[in-house]
Amino acid sequence: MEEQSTLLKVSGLKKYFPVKGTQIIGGKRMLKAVDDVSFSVEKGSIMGVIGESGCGKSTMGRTILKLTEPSGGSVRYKDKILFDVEGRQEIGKKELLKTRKEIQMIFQDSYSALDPRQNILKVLSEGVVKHKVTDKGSVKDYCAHILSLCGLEESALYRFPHEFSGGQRQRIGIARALAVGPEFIVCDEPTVALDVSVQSQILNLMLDLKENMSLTYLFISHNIGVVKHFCDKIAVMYLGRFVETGNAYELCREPLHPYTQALLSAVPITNPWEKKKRIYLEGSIPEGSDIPKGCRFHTRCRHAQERCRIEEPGLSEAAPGRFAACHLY
Amino acid sequence: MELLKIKNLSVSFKVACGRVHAVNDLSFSLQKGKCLAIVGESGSGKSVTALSIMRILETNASVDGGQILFEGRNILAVKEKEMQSIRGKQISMIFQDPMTALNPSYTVYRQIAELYKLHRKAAENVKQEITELLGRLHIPNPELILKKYPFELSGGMCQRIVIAMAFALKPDIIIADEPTTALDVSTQAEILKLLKELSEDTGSAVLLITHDMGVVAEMADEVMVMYNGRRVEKKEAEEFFRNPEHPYTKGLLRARPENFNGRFITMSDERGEIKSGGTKYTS
Repeated sequence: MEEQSTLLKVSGLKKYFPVKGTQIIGGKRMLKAVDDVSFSVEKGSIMGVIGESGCGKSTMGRTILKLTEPSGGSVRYKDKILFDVEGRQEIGKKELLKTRKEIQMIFQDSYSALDPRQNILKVLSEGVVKHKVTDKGSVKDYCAHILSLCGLEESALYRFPHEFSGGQRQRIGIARALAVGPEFIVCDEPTVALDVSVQSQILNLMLDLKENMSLTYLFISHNIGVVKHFCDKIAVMYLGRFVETGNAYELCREPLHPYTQALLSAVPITNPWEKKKRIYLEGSIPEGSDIPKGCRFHTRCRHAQERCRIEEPGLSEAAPGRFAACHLY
Repeated sequence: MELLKIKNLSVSFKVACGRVHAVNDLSFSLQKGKCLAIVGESGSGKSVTALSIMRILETNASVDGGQILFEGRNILAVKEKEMQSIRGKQISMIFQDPMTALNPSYTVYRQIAELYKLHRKAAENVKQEITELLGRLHIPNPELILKKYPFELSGGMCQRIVIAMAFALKPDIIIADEPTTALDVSTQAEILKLLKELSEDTGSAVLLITHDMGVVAEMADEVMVMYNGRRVEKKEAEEFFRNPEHPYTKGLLRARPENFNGRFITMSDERGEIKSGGTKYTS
């Protein structure tokens, strides 16, 4: 039963980049952007990934889709293994293309994600034709239908990306992802450049579509205020690894990991008369090529003890359904 | 005390299909040592207002009317040379994107030293002064940072340098145009704290432009809402959050993500359709 509802299973995912200018003899230094991440996403749920810029959350999203080559670990989508680096298994090219129909991505910067020379019909129909979503004669009508689902008019089909506002372009980005009829969508900060009201519209659209088309989202963001309400589950990422996962509301109400606590305390107050105790982290984030030994957060942690400098904690269940990678629990 | 008074300011841009009226008949004043937040959606004329005060509008823009009185003087009428002595020294600005605000081919030291060179003839002790300044911003290892180029630093560090430059000559007014939009929440919290500390230290008034109500709640003494280049409402910060009057203001406050109730609230949920805060065209 449980096996059936798991849509995506990621185990031990790693993505390392060689650091330029380091010696080839004696081994290149590696920047560990994603360093051993495991999780699964249930069908019909929204999983959120939060963390500061440079923590590896976007790289993780891209690696899952095989948009960049993974350095280690495996990803299973439904009963298909997309890749398993250790088991030397990899999905075939044709099969991968077919799977792309089911897994789509919405990008952060809607302007650079759309080809400026293609009108919207071209943008939307490319995938539709390729994957034979509908028969040739009705491609145009189909694209118009998808646009209307995303709150845009049919006339938009013959316009170009630069003629739209940021919010409208993001709708087009969503429409493009939806056009091929996916089940799973990786969303990489889809509302980062938008005003609050437009952000609300886009997020509501995504919620409507999710309910009507039974979609599943992996939602990458650094906007904690949004993630708290939008997602079912949240994972907090620090230096390429998850430090805490759990139910969205509970995690935001009572964060367990010292890093999550600091991150949440930095969220601005909602009203001027509110008092909030801030936890300011000391120092800056270590380089991904120079991850501290032991717990990777110990250099900035208020509770760091001797043990934290030596032994790296794994994710362990700290409360029912709540996991934290910290020796305190 | 009124430090800056804007009277009936109107600014428009010449574009291919006519004129865009970005700021229409805008009046407000900024008190000494206080923080005034200007909020509104993109395109509501917030940034154009800031650029008009600094007199660094683009060449296709024109001020169609009004006055900007700084210490009783209309700075729209002063000569460019005189404006140069005001800019950076008495009124300075913090920009949204720290990476593009700094010159990529200058080291941090040269970037900051330029300010001193332009506004003060004597060049002694500049290095020491700059080092002290960076120390006040809690920048570790200021000597090392001074030798670096902007691309070698993180976004948060670059924004600190931009802030250091803005406060260097202890100006009367700091205009901060979305100073934390490009930053993470944790960096944002640090930068806001820094802005507060420094403005209290130097007694500078802050004109804070933002669309983030959280930032407003953290920083502002007073809040002004702009829509379509016009002033919609101006109030004391606490009063603004407790009793917003204008339907547009109410909408802005309700559209915050924390008011989620199964769906996020949009501006159009509030009393029918409110057009998003764009600008008007005339031909």
